[in-house]
Amino acid sequence: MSTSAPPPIAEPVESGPPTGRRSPTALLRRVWRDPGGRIGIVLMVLMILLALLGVSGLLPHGPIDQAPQDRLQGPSGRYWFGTDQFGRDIAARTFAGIFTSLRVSVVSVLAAAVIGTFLGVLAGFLGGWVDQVIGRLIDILFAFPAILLALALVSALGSGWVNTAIAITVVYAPIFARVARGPTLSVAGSEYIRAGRVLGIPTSRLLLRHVLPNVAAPIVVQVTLALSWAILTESALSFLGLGTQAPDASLGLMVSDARNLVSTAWWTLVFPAAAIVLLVIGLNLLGDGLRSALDPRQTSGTRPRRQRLTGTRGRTS
Amino acid sequence: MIGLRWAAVRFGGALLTLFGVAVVVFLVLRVIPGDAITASMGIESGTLTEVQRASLEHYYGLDKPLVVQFFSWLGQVLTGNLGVSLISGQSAASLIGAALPITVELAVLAAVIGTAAGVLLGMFAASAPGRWRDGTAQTVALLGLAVPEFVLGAVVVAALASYFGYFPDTGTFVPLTSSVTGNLSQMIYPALVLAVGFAANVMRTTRSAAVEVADADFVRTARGKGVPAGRIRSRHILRNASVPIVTITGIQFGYLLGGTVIIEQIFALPGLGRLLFTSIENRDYPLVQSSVLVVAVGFVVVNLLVDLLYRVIDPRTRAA
Amino acid sequence: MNSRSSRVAAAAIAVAVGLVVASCSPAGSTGNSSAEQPASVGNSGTDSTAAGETTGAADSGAAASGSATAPGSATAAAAPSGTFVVARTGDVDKLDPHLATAFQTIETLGLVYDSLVKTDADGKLIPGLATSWKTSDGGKTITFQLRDGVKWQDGDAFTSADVKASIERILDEKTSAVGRSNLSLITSVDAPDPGTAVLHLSAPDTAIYYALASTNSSILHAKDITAGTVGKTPDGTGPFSWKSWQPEQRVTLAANADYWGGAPGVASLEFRVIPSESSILAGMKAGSFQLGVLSDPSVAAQAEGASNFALVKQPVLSYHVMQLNGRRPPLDKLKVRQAIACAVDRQQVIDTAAFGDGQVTGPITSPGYQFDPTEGLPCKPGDLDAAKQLLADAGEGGGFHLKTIVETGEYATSVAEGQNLQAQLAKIGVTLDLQQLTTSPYVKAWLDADYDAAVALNGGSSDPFLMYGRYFTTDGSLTKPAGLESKELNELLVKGNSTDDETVRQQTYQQLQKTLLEQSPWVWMFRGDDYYLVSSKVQGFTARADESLTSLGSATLSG
Repeated sequence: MSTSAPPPIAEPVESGPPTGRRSPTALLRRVWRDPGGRIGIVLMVLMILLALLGVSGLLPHGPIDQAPQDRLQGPSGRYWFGTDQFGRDIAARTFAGIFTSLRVSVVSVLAAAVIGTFLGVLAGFLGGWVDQVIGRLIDILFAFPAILLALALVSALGSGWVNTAIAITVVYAPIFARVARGPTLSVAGSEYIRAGRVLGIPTSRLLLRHVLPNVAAPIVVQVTLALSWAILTESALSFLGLGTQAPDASLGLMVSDARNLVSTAWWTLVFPAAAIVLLVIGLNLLGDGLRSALDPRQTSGTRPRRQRLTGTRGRTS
Repeated sequence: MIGLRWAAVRFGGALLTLFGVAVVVFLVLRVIPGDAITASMGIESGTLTEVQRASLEHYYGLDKPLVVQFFSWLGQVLTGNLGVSLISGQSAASLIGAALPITVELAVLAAVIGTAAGVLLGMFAASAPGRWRDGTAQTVALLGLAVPEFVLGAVVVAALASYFGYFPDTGTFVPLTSSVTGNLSQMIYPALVLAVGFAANVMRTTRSAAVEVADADFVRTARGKGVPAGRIRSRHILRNASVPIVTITGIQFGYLLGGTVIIEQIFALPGLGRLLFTSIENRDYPLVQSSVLVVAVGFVVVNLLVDLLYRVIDPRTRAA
Repeated sequence: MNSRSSRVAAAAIAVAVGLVVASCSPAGSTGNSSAEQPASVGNSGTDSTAAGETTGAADSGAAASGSATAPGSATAAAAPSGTFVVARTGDVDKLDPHLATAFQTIETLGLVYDSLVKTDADGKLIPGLATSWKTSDGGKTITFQLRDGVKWQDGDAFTSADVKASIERILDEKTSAVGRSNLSLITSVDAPDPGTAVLHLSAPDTAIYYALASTNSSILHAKDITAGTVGKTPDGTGPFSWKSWQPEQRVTLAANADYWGGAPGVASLEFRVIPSESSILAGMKAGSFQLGVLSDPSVAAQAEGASNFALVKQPVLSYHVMQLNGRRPPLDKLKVRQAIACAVDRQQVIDTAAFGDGQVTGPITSPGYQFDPTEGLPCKPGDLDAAKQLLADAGEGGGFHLKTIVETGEYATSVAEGQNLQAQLAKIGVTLDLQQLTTSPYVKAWLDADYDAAVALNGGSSDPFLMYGRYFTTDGSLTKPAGLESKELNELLVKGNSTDDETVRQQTYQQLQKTLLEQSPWVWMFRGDDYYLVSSKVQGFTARADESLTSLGSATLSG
């Protein structure tokens, strides 16, 4: 999807009537049954293991250890992926870079999911002026191209992984808000909730017990897609020098540093670039798997439905 | 047809959004540390005397209160004057006017190539869901999604230069109006790089929509009636799957208008993305503000058009 | 992007460019004529009756110099033809030479405007709009004889009124001229007749000739100043006249057939903005440009051995340095600063950050003042044991953290230098906390002295006073960010600048360099190279240490 594309918005998982709960393990089992999902799980487990290895200190070379006498060496038994201009081990840096990418994306996407879901549920449930205000805010943030918004925010906040994470959170929270608002709206309008309100059941209980479970499925799917977009954004910002700061390892920064070396030292580019690609593929496959596992149509047969594919279309209804 | 009330509401909303964008850009810019003086003079700004500095601040309009700065800019914009670049002293309108066509052309090319390739690939995949060609097409799309454009762009530039001794752009941008071939030879590579991600998204949307429609009752009926497969595909499936395809194309196109920064940087295209990137670095406030506003207007207009298109394609949405 | 180097980041851009002495002529044609010190050219006339001769006055001298910059007969005979295309990473940013700081702006406007005096490729003073000059009144009055028959673009004659108006414009604080601080000793300018301009100074100032040679001291058309049109369309007396500017794309200049130094060898000159250095290299391979200007060693390394262009490496006067803020503990302790200065292996920084391209340097990079780059340091650079001992002596053996600011985007090697310094100093327990900032916030932190250490690329000059007067004299304009006040440094600088006796200047500035290394306010590391990709069709291009492109005024194209 690359960073010039909009942050992806999952095709809505039909929330419809309460779908019944599934335990996470059951869900994973369903994903595993899908071949794509299985590759996704394997890739992500592998990536997480490599990331942990990268920061474990168990590797023969640390990600920021310089060995100037060994600079720009090709892959070998001693340096699996070769070395960079400072004689740093590219294998160690790639693994640590995967950790950096995962850390930024997980932190930012979770924050965005929590904030966005909260806002979306609030807007959908309360309606009225709350809905109006939140909706307008979302529209304003949507009118900025995502990468540009992230870029401006990082310029304002200063670079570093925490600020990159904040920028991605700001870009993504409105998307979660929009994803959460739809299902909330349909649940909030249901006879059941109206009755509950009349009976005086506390709002918090209604939200937690009845609204949230219905919002959960689309949010979970959105999270995996958001993660892959966040990984690309982090690496793009780092590529522009606005993300993770040297000497910390970051895949985007490694690619950026390698650009001028690629004709003489291909390994400086190939390994970090491959790591980004594998991370994004893994997350996408996992997301696709989750989506089909959560899709009620898998169990309840198909029926025509209106596409509400995107948030950027403006708020209908 | 298209309700007047609907149009009024959407238009009013769009204006409100644009005002919000203007406020946000203005504020974010003021939070970014540094100003045009330090950005353009570097450490030489330290050698300025008090009087010199004050006179520069006056020159850049930085000595006025923020509220005054904001409304005088907005007032200018409303009268069609986008302001003057602090750095080059040229009018923002002429700078944006030179850069915008490049970005728009890039976005249009990428969208055309991306949509064509994406729809073809998507229909191809959907024609036999779950079979090998579906799998292959989906894998290709997945790769398209996963390769970051900056990696692809950097590799394309390096490969073109070292293996073909050819470089698509050498700084002078050839406008479409002066030489179509000259222009296309510059634009085609960056457009192709952008089209990859674009096509991947379109492909996935096309595939899932087509698979869904192919299952619908009316398609089964048509099939039952013996309508040829090709005709079913073009007249029934594609037509009915077109709403999500138009949507994803429109949205991606809107984003491309402001999302070409990296590609313009790598391919040395003097488009709007690069203009924005450098003017943020230069703290060229009026130029950044006006360019972002232009991008936002483009974005909002594209969204309005997409909405409008929906109503034309799919009468059901008119009820909404 | 990290390969961009649109502005010479740190100090003295204004100073560096245009008034600098080249270390060695890359063309090799000028031989060893540097025995004659540049400063003596202007000043030997002070009180001697032989003034006229030694100032190389007047027309014979001027003609000789003129033909050196515009090697003439061949180019003058053949009608200039062809477009010479220069590719570089940045654009000009403003069109007023008195306000210009961006390297590209100075490079370009230097071809459109002239100054009173100029420097040749070796950095020696040569006549410009002034054909001769002499000092009197104990060095406090300088009289310039102006060149005859020079015309502005609209045909008006150049006169002393233009000189007076231009210098007064620089001195007027409302102009915010960059070069004002270097001319601040001027108290008044007289124009007794159209061919004579007289400067009155409050104190003798040997560096002023070099300050006047800068593009920042360009002579403008008095008419433009009155009309307030300076900065709109450049109007000068230089070898090229201004034609057009498409921001972020290109600047086009046309040959000035009436140029007093001889018409240029090409009909027009075009500067194109190619933001990435790799793209410039690719364009050179494709034959799209006649000259490519690079500064990133990793890109230049790929330019070796091409068939249709040559790679010219030109050592420059600017220097890579790590400034220490001696006002903040523990850097206020001399031994701590010395320990850091000792611990850094300069060659390792060059090898890792600049891919081996660069020379270890001391504080003074002026070719006229070459001294041992390490004399004065208490130990050999890279001697970790000695460094640790110094830290222990200072009671800082336990190590400490330093907030280190690094400017990103302005020159290619900054972040790499920071990373290597960090790795090196970690070995003596000193932790550099790197903060990478873009120009504007970096400059702000630097000016506020809000740092412990700052990795910088500072501009150099042929005149040591222009390099360090601003930092280490008591009333220098940048003493706060320089981080160290020292009476001794102040005295040495003032002494060197108030005399034109070359022996005294040599001794004084050698002592200055030694004291700077002893006091270790900063860690001087190395001088880098500029890289020029010169198409094989180009004749007569000379790279210069001051990064000026003046030789384009006489370059020609074949084929």
